[in-house]
Amino acid sequence: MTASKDAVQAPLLRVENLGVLLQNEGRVVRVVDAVSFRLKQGETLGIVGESGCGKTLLCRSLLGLLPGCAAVAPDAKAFFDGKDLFRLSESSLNKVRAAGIAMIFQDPLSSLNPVMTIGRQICEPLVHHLGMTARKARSRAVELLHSVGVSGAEQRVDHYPHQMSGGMRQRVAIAIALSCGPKLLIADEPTTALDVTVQAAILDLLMRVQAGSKTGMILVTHDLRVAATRTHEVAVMYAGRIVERISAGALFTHMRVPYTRALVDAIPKMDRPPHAPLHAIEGRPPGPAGAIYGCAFAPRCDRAIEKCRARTPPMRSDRSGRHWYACWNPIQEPAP
Amino acid sequence: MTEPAPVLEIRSLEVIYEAGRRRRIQAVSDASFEMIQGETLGLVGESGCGKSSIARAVMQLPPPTSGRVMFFGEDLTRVDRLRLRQLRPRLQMIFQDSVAALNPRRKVGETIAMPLRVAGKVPKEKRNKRAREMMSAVGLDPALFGHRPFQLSGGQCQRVQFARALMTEPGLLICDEPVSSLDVSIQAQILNLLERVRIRHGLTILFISHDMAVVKNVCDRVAVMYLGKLCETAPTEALYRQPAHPYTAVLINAIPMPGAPLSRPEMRAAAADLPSSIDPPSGCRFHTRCPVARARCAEIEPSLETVGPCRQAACHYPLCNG
Amino acid sequence: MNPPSEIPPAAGRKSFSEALGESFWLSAIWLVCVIFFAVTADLWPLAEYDHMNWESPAAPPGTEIHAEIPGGGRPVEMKKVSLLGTDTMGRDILARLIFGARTSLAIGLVTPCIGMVIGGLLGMMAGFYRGRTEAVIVAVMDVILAFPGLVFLLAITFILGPGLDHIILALGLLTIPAFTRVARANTLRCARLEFVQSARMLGQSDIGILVQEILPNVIWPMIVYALLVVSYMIVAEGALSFLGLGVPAPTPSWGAMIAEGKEVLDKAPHVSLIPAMVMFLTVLSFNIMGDCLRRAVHPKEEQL
Repeated sequence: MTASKDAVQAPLLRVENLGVLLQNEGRVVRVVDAVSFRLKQGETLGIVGESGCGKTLLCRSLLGLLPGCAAVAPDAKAFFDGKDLFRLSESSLNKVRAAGIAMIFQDPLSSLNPVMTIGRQICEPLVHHLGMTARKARSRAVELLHSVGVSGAEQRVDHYPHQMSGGMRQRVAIAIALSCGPKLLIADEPTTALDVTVQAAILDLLMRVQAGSKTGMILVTHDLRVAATRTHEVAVMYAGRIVERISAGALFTHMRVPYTRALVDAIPKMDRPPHAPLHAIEGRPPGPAGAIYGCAFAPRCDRAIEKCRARTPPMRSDRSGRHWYACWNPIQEPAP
Repeated sequence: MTEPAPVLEIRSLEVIYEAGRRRRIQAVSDASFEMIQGETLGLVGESGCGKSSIARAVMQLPPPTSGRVMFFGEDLTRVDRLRLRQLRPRLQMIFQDSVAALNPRRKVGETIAMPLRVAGKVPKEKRNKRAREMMSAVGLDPALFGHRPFQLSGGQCQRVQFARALMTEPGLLICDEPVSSLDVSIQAQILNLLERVRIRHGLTILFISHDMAVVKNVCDRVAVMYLGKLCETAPTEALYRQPAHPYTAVLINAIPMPGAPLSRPEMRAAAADLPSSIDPPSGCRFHTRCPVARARCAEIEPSLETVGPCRQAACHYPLCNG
Repeated sequence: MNPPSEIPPAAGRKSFSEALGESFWLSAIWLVCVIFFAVTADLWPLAEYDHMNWESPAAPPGTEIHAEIPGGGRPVEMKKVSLLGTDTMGRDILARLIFGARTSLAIGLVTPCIGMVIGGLLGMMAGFYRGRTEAVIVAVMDVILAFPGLVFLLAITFILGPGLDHIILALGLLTIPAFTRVARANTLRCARLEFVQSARMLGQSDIGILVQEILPNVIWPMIVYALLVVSYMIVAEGALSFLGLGVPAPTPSWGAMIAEGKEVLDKAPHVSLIPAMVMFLTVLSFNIMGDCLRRAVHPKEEQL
């Protein structure tokens, strides 16, 4: 997994100043705010954060899949393949959804139709969007199932989702996502509902698929270890904002933002004896309705200074231009 | 060295569920282990391996199909209903779904005072005072006394569960995936709380989890389960340094480790899918996914054998020996 | 759009009465009025509800008629403006409406209570103990459901004789299966949850668990359902009066009043329409209250 050789190529996805507004009991709340990032072809961006930090809404907004009470802020931009996703008509957005961007959800049982064979579910986009004949689509479906590691694909195409295990269903969901050859794959907590051994296998599969077809991928996860080992760049989110963007290899050692450090420290370590205390972050994340003055993490942060409570820190980068962080009092020394 | 009397001793425990039309699911088969005073035993395995069934069989909710559950020398499967009701408060359980574990119509403080109310003979003022004390002991603001569970966060609900369980001064605390549905930062808070109350109350804990990293941080000893069978028990440090059973190795290997190269491919489970426990594989149940299985594994079922100090493994070809 | 710093701080949770909404309180006011007049009917200077006045049958509202006002000792006859007019037998509609409210409310409010107590008990037992208890209870309820309700009512009036108490008893028995179902479904849902198991781990007995853990979670859905049954029962009384199975004359009831007016619907529509309107408003109010309560109680249940 090396970075793309062609460093000057235009990014596959460029998101600028993305905000998501949520209507909550008559008031409008900004649940995602000032999110900007870019993603190159063949690269994986990991988005990590605790539940309620806005990572799922962020992904859904890119595909126009927000729930009825939420809307994208008017000044947000997201360029995919040269087109601004937020200014597309419904029909052209449908075209992008079909062939450009595919999404994999956390719970494969609810994303698959329970009364349709998995074969039909894979064939549907093939026939509908790529204009394949039914027979050709079926043989392609078997091929796809085979490529995502479903054994006995010829028989499995006629099975229903409830006849398969969680891991197999997620493989089917991946096969459906890949059916039209997307340029961008958004995986929202794809392994959270699965066992560890299955999780490793599914992540292996996603990495293989992505490296093989030069697809760009956004991997949303709450597990920093998954993000650090399976992506190129990691964006850490807190209370609707990206607080740090860092290359995956440096995530556990060279973080600048105290929140990232606190998350890393809170993970149970394998090299410490039993009963050793963990570094917990006291308090809990602000709710979506909470007013945010200054840095949202300041009340829980042990490095907070006066300025942190007064003004929201902007994103700035270090000298290399690859590591971005939003903190008034960043950590200077690498973690032990 | 004199052996302290075990708090809990399980002998050839078997749990079978009827799944209609003569289909029987053997959730736990022939499980035996014991726990001594003050010990934390981790029970790990993938979902559906029978971890929770063991916990429920210990509590007699429902009782096991066969086998013995000795709690401080009394067989819970044999005692009469009255004695069971007397003994149960000494066995407490923390559930994964902390919201479902609390009665939504009852105030948090009353939930915590509940054990004293059931035991009777404690006046209401004293109950509530004890509940408030317990709330501060588990890191809950006593001002939350009159709140209802839906007004609390997942972490706070988990603390309420701890407070309620500790009110009875339990002899054994069973934690069934207590932190699985929590965020990392809250998970660390709850694990630290568990550690604090363990020391203060001298608790004996059966800790059920699928997260090998959490278990490493919490437990003195680990028992690994696969498809209803124990496949390895060992002291934590030894188990993680050198697993004896290939399945243990697979589990440890599946933990993503930042900084280290991606896990050794030779120690991956061969097939990703767990076989069905209605019709488990012949011989060693793990042989269908085992990276080092040989012909003998499919024919003869291995029994738990001693493979080192205080450790046993059920494998014909253990990865370490002696 | 607001920048995040200008978002007002989170408002507190809506109080229970706010969550119920205006329509709930409007309905409540109407029902309180109806109940108030029904209870205090004897204290008002109303005409005797069964005094027939053949001089002015089906008089329109506002007509001056001779009426008997019950006063200390023997009734006094005097001239009086009839606010809502008279029915086909010249009886004062207002008086009949207010006294009729007693009948209709008695049927509407007492029947669901019978169903709620018996049905709730059976349903909770079925949902909690499962097994044979559940099988027997469900089977009995199925039999009651399959039995034609009208035939049952006819049989009761035939055996026990006509009368308000017998109608209430018969209708009450007919609502039991529905309440049993509501109670059983909610008990099943609760009994699965871990808080019931943790109560058991505290050494709580079966009765203790049923009363302290499950009942508080079952009672609200039951009350919401009972409010719907109230309006069903008020309407059912009306239908029974049409069939001649209602409360025997001269005791007034709204249903009987509507039924009496059907012959003069073309000449004096108010004889039927006024009681129909009152019944409509009352039934609507019970329904609105039930709906609002369900909505106010439900968000918490979804957190389960």
